[in-house]
Formats: sequence, structure tokens, C-alpha cells
Amino acid sequence: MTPKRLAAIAGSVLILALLWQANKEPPDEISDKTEIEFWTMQLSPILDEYILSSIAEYEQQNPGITVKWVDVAWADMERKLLASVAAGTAPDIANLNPQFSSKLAEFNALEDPTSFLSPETIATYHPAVWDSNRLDGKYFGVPWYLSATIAIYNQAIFEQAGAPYPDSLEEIPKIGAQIQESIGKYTYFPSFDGGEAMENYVLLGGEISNDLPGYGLSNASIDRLLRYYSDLYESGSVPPSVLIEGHQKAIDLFQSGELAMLLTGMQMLRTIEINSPQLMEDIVVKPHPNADEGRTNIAAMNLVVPKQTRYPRDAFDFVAFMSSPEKQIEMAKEVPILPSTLRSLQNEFFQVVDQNDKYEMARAFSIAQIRRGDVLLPPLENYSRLRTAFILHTHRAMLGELSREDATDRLISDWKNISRSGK
Amino acid sequence: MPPPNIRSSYEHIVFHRSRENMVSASRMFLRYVILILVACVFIGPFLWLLSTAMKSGSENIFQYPPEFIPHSPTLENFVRVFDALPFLTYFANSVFVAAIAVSCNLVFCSLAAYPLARMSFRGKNVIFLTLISTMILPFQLMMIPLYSIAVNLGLNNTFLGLIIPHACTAFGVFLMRQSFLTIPHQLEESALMEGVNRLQIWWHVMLPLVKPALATLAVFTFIGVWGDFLWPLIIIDDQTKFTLPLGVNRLAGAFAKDWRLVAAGAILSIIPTIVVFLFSQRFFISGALKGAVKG
Repeated sequence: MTPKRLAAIAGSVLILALLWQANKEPPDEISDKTEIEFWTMQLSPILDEYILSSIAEYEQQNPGITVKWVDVAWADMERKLLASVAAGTAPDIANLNPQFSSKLAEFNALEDPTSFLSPETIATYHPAVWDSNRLDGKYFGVPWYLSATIAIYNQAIFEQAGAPYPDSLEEIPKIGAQIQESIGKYTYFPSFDGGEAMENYVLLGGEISNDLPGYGLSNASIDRLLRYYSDLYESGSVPPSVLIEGHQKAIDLFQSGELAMLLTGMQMLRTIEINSPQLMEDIVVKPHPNADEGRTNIAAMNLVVPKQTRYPRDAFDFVAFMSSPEKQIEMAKEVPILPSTLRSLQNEFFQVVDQNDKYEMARAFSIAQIRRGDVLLPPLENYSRLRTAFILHTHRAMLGELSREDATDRLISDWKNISRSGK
Repeated sequence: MPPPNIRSSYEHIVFHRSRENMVSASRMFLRYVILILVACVFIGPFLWLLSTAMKSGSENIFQYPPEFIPHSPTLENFVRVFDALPFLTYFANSVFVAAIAVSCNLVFCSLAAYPLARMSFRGKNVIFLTLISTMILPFQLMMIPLYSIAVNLGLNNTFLGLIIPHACTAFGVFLMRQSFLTIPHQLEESALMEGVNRLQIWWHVMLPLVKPALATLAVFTFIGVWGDFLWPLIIIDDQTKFTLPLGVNRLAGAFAKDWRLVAAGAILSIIPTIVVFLFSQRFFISGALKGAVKG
């Protein structure tokens, strides 16, 4: 082949391909059906059958609508969604966590579900969870599925050390010191890669609210929280790597038998059983240590409708269908999640049949916490900056770089500054 | 028998030689020890991945202290990868995208590099410097504009959309230009005197002489395309068009993570990269060195 011909062929193929692609008409303009694009977070392949059959059922009930399902990796949803929003090709519905949902809501990028859903439909959702999807008085998402933080203990470690299970978070440092002294193992691994530290602040009596000056932080509650974390660190209850590693490290350490307890969602039991089958015999599942003291946290996954959608009414209709009590129970039977509607939370599926079944017990504890729980960390404006300041000063107090009093003052001062600059 | 003074100097020489041999052997030994240690550091994570992929379901993969050798080694996890995912579809997609992207990159980069290296025209240096300066921009910065262009061209969710960003790269043009610069001008001049045109010179004279650089560029492009996660993630929605990195990522489910399966999938997906490197190793090393020394 001559060089001219080679170059001409290569160039022509690319140009023709580009022209062909550019001249293609968008599929929904030649079709009389409305296509809704629905993005989920890593539900495939485990929920393929459930999601596809639900979509088929919805399409049968609504012949003018087709639903295109796209499943996106958990860790990469934000990047993909931001790119598609920037290019004007956002999906009609996206499954997002509350932090990222609220970030988009800050930019007024999401539709308000109260404008499209009936009051009767809204009343079906867990009120505390529904209200947590609100920023500046406007709602931005519909809760789809929930999870609660329960305690998973390595019974063998507690028995070897002769230590009791903690009845509250603040008991962990004392028990941790005993375990460290007796058998040289760590007890707990608090994670700083999410909102856990701020949730613990609320669990220990604090308050966080967008409506209060400086988000409502109080000196006494911050001081109590910093004492808790400093005690954890100084007592040897936690490994030094807590300052640089996140929840995944906690799970890895627990699976290696080197950590006495894990505060996590019930779905982690299955992961532990797959990766560390022998450890399952030693596992004891209990409610969160602070569950008896009142407030417990609910983690929610939302369905949101970006403002770029051309079919907000159809999108919310599909959202209401997917988050209906019936569909939620079907989903909870497939994977370890909990429903966000009040009626499905009462379903007999959540009754414990076998007290020795760790999965059933974990589900029962989770559902009990959710029925009376709350979303402890509301959507916050400037969430990333607030979280960074919170963790920075907590770390400095743990390391002894700042006294508790100084760390408390600086943390509150930083939050006040962020509050003033961001609004 | 030699006289005592000669014998003594002979023994002296033998003693020195054996001492030199010992020193040289111990140096060699030390060199190998260091090389083996460095090799272990680099190959360690891969071997650990292999060990995890070969552990049976009854073994604790997070055991402390860690156990490198599986108790009952199994290939079952590799089989399970094929059951869990349409692995062959992802593999075929990756091969298709990589083959086209590598071919386009070799043709277009060498075409662009030839005039930049061997022809004189106004603005040549400005064009070259502009091209090179794009290398300092991280992909994350260009991702959204690139995606926007791809969407406007209708390339969203197409293989062509996957290929085009890799079809001609600034690095490729730079590497090929450096390589063309090493070829003596006389060869080109004699070809011109024979009445051969520029494109024919590029094809018949220049390209055969820069095969090592072409092989190097092919390997770099292949590794880049094969392992690319971010761009396919952004541009592809349809799971039947996923390339291997996207596909293997699906093995780490949201509700249960089976690390044996993830490790087996990762091992399977990197085998082609190793094979390509091994086959092109000879060209690759000399090509990389040539590009490095000629300015």
C-alpha cells in the first residue's frame, strides 16, 4: 500500500465516522416514546434481574415511556455526573448519596420533588429521612433505601481480654486500653473519610444545623467529642493509621482478626463471610453502642431528578414507582438494604425468625434503629470545607498538637468563618 | 621446579588473581541481591494479587500474619470471573479499541512528526512547542470539554468516542519527531534526487528506520488505552461496550466485595499488557533510549 493511500484511507475513515455520528438524529426525536435515563450506583450485576423486571413492569404500566438504565461505579458517580451535567446530558434520574445530592442542590441543579409528588405519596416516606433532603427550605431528593450503623464484635478478642462490650461510644477507650494491655490488639478504627466524626458529635449531644449561626456548634459538645477521640488515641484503642486511612482499612483489619469491633452497615456481614469465613463463628452482632441512649443515625441513598431533564413529571413518577413500599420490600429481599417507606418498615419480612442467624439479627437491630432514628448530619452548605476543618482540628487534638480547649475554639471559629463566607 | 623467587612471585600473582576473583564474585553477588530485592519490590504487589486470586473460599485472605502461599491453591476464582461477567465481551472490546487506537496513533503521530523533524516551514517551532505544551495539562482538566465535544459529535457511547482521544497524542508526535531527527539527512536527500516524493520518503525511507520508536509508541499507547478507566467511564453507558477496566470494576459489588474475584479479574486483565511488552521488549528498550538522547 502506498503511503498516500494509507494516509487517505485512515483520514477518510475517521472523518466519515465523525460525520456519520454527528448527523445521526437523537433517538427520542424519531421515536414517539419518552425515554427516561436512570442512573444507579453499582447495583449491577447483583440487582440486574430486579431492576430490569421493575423497569419492564413500569413500561408495561406506562406504554408511552421507556426507561434506559445505566449503572455507574460507586466511587466514580460524581465525576461521571459532573461531566454529563457540564455537557448538558445529565440523566433524568440519578441515585446519589445525600452529601453529593446536597452539593448539587446548592447549585440549584435538582428539581424539588414536592412540586411533582402528591402529599399522599410524600407521607409514605420516613419523615426524618424525607426532611433530611432539604436545603434552604427546598427539597431536593427522594429517599430510596436506607441503612443503619450497627456493631459487629469479634467475640474471641473480647473473651481473651476479659472485656465487656461497650454500652456507649465513650466506654470504648477504657475497654480498648484493657484489650491493648491484655492481648495487644486494637479495639476500634474510627473513620475520618466520611461524616462519622460529625455524626458522633451529634450522637454525643451536639447539634448541627444550617439555620443556626456557625451551624450551631457548641463548645461543651465539641469538647466532649474531642475528649472521646483523644482518649481513644491515647489509650491505644485505635491504631495510629486512623489519621490517614479510612473505613476500608477498618474492614480489612477486622477481617484479619486484629480489630475487636466494627461500627458499620449490616451489608458488611456478607463481605466478611466471603473474605474471612472462619471469622464468622466469632462474630457477635449488636445494636450501635449508643442505640439505647436515644438518637441513632440513618444513612440514606436518594433518587434525584436533575433540572436538565426534559421530563420531570415522568421522572418523578418513575421515582415514586421505584421507591414505593412494594418495590422496596422486593429490593430488600434481594440485597441487605432497608426501605425508606413507613409501611414497608413494618413488613413481616423484618421479623426475626432465628435468633442465631446473624443476618436476621443484624437486620432486626438495623430496622429497630431506623424506626426511631434520625439523619444526624443534615445537608450542609460548604460541606467539604466544613468537614476538612472538623477533621483537621480533631486530629490536632488527638495528636496533642493543640489542647482540647484550643482545638475547640479553632474548630468553632473556622466553622463560623466558613458560614459567613459561604452564604 | 622453578627457583624460590620465581615461585614466590607466581604464588603472589595467583593469590592476587584469586583475591580479585573473590572480590568480583562478591560484588556480583551483592549486585544480584540488590537486583532481586528491587525486583521483589516491583513484582511483589503482582504476586500478592496472584496469591489472593488463587486462594480457595475457605481461606481468610486478610489473615494476620499474612500467608503468601495459598493452603489449597485453586483456579476456581478465574472460572468464576467468566461466570460473574461477560468477560470475553469486555476483552474483545478492549482488544478492538486498543488495536484501532494504537494503529491510528502510529500513523497519525509519525505523519505529524515527519514535517516537524525534517521539513522547514514558517511556524514549525511554534506548532511543535504548542503541541508539547499540551502535555502538561492533566486529562482531568480536558475531560469535560472533550466530553462536550464528543457529545456534540454524537460520539457518546460509541467505540469511536473511546478511540479518538488516543488516535493522535502529543507524546507520540514528540517521540516520533525525536526519532526522525536521528536519521542522516543524506538518505532523504538521495531519495529526493531520485524523484521520490515526501510521503513516499516517509513510508519507504523513514518509517523502516524508526521501527524501535514505533514499537515503543505502540507499547506506550497500548498500555495507556488498555488501562484507561476515566475516559471510558465518562463516555460509555452501555455495559456491552465496556472495556476491561470498567468491566473488572463491576466485580467489586456495593453489597459484598469478594476480593478473590477482584484479584482474579485484575490478573486476567493485565495478562495482555505483559504479553505485548514481552514481545516488543527488544524494540522498546532501544526505541526509548534513542528518543531520550537525541535533542
